[in-house]
Amino acid sequence: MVKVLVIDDSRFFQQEMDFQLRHAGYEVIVADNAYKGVELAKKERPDIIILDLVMPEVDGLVACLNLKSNSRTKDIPVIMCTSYSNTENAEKAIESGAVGFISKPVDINLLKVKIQRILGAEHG
Amino acid sequence: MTTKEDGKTLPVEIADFKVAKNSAVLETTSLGSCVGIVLYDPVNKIGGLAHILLPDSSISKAQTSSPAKFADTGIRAMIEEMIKLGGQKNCFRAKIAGGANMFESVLPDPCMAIGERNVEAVKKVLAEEKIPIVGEDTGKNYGRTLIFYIETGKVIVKSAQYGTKEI
Amino acid sequence: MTEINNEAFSLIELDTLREIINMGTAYSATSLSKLIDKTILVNVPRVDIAPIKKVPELLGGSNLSIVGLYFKFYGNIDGKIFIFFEKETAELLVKYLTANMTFSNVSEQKEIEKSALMELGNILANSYLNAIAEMMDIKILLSIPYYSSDMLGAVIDFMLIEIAKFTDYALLLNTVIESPEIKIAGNFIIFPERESFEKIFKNVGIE
Repeated sequence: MVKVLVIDDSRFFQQEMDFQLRHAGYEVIVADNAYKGVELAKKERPDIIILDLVMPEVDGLVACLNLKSNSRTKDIPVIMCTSYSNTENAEKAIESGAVGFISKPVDINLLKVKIQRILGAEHG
Repeated sequence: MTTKEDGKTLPVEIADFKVAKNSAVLETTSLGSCVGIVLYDPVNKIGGLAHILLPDSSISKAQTSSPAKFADTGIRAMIEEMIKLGGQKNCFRAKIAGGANMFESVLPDPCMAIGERNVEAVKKVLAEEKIPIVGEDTGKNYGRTLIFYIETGKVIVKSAQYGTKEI
Repeated sequence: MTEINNEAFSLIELDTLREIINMGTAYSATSLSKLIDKTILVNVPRVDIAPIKKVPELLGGSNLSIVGLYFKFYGNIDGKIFIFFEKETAELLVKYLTANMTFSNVSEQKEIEKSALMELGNILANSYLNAIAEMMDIKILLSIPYYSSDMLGAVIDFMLIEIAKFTDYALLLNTVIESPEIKIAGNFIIFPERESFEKIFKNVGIE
C-alpha cells in the first residue's frame, strides 16, 4: 500500500486528510510540525509527503529544503499545500524541491491524480 | 458624560465614563481588552464607571473628544467629576474588570497583549492617585459585563462562559 | 490625499473600496461554497464611517455570541482582516466540516472543531486577499489565525483599540454573506493601514 505522510499544524486538516486518503486506499501517517515531520520521514520512509506551506516556527519551504538535503528523505516526492494559492507560491515550492502543489480546500480527486502521476513516474 | 440618580441603570459606552450617586446603577458591557474602572465613595454614596481602551494618552496621535479613551485621562477626569458631585477623594475605593486577551492562536503574540498593558496602566494611575483597589477580575481570555450598584458599592461581573461573580 | 480622520473619501474612492471588498468576499464565498457544498451569496458591501462606540451596534449588537477569526496581512499593502460568524452559524459550519470525523471524547471534539474553524478562516481570508492581490497585481501575505469565541463587543474591542490610537472614528469595510439553502450569517471586515489606502487608490488609477 502507498504510504502518505501529511505534515500540517492544523488538527482538523490532519484528520480530514487522514480520512480522505485512507478512503482512497492509502496508508496515512501524520506530523503536526516540521521537526516531527522530518523525523517521521526518516524513520517511516513514506512514498510521498503532503507538506503545508504555512506553519508556525518552521514553514513548509524550510522543511522541504531540509527533507531534500537529507540522504534518507531526499528522494521522497513532496507535494506542497496551502490555502494561499498563487503562481509565486507554486514557484517557491518547486524551487525548494517540491514536485507538486495543491491548494486548500483540497480536492481529493485532484490530489489522487497528482499522487498517481508522481508515483507512476517514479516507477517508470 | 452625564449625572443621574435614583435606581436607573445607566449604560457606559466604550471610551466613556459616567458618575452618579445614591441608588443609581452603572453598567458597561463588552469588556474584552478594555478595562472597566469603578470608583466609589461609600461615605457619600457617589460612584463612577469608566470604560477605557488604551493605557496612556501620550501615545495618541490625534485629538480626541473622549478623555475616557485612556486610563490616565479617563480616571483623572472621573475623579474630578466625582469630587464635583460631592465625593471625598480620600474615601475613594476602586474595583476593576477586563483587560483580557480575547484571541488564541498556535503561537502567542505579544502584540495582542494590550489588555494586560491596560490593566497595568490602570493600576499605575490608581496608585498615583492613592486609591486602593478592593476588587478585581482581570486578564484571562473572556469578555465581561460589569454592573455597579453605587448604594452598596457592589460590583457584579458577568461573562458568557463563566456566569456571574461579585468582586 | 485622503485622510480617514477627515472622513474625506471621494465618491469614486468609496466606490473603489466597495468593489475591492465585494471581490474579496466573492472569492471567499466561492471557497466556502466548495467546502460545504451550498450556495453562498454576498450582500451589498457597506462602507461606513462611524464613531468607535457605535461599531458593535452596526455589526449586530455587542451581546451577540460570535466566533471570530482575526488575521494580520503584510506586503504591498498591510492591515488586518476579521471574519466572524454568529455562534449558530459556526456550529453549523463545524458540523459540515467534521461530518466524516469521529471523536474519542468531548475535549478532542472541541479541539478539532476549533481547528476546523481556524482552518476555515485561513482558507476564507486567503481567498479574500488573493482576490485583492490579483486585482491589484501585488503581493500580500497572511498571518496565522487568531481565534475568539465570545460576545461580539468583547471580541472586536481589540480592533477598536487599534483604531482608537489614531482616531475616534472607524472606517468599516464590511460585507455579509448568507445562503438561501441553510441558515448562516457571516461578516468580513478589512482594515487596511492608513498608508495602504493611498497605495490602493494609486494602483487603481485614482488620486
